[in-house]
Amino acid sequence: MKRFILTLIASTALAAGAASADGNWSLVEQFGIGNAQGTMQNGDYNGAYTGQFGGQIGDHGVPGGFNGSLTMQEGVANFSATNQVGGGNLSITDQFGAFNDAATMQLGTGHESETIQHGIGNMSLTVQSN
Amino acid sequence: MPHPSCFRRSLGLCLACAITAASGSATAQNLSEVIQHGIANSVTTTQDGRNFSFVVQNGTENTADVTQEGRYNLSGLTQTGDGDQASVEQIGEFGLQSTTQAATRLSPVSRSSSGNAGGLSSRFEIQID
Repeated sequence: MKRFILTLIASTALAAGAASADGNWSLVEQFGIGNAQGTMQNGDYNGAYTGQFGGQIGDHGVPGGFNGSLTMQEGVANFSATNQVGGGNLSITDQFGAFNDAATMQLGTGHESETIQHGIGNMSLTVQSN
Repeated sequence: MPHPSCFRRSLGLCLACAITAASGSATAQNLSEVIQHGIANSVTTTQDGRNFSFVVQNGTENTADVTQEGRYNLSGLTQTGDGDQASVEQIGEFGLQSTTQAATRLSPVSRSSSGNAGGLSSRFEIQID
């Protein structure tokens, strides 16, 4: 798991070379097993959506997944939504600033969701259902 | 004052051991962790199944709302600051919930359990002068 997170952080750091900007949108959709994505936004009024949909392992109907998502946002009024379907997915959302929203929905089993928010008036919504 | 992550880890281990002993199951299906630092933050966590939920809020005027439905759910909630509000609802059997508040003025915690046979509920209050 640590290796997985390190990979995510590394990919996010690579994407972090962009300067601060406002009003950007990021849309990531991944289908299958073992995908990873990292999104970093620095600025105000940014939005990030991540959808990860796992497949099926073997012919036994075992829900697959094992996808990882890391979203970091710094600024004011940013929005992050993560939707993961399958099994064993990991979602990490970090927001620093004010009036940020983080929504995480995970459907399946063995998921882990972690949300960290620093600031004023931030809101976190997590829904996990089997 | 221990670092929040250390506290969360120790709390998580303690509660995880407790629910493992109570339910005979070593693994949970889903895990949700929310940590908030600041003012007027809010958390809403809804889980269906056999789940773990941990919420840590440091600051003032924060609100937390946790709903768990199913068997063998576990909720750990810690709030440090004034004017914080917490609501924990567990629907099902063998649910465990622990709520800790530390503040100069404590707020009432709304907790309810429906059909929570074999469950355990605890509340810790720390009044800071």
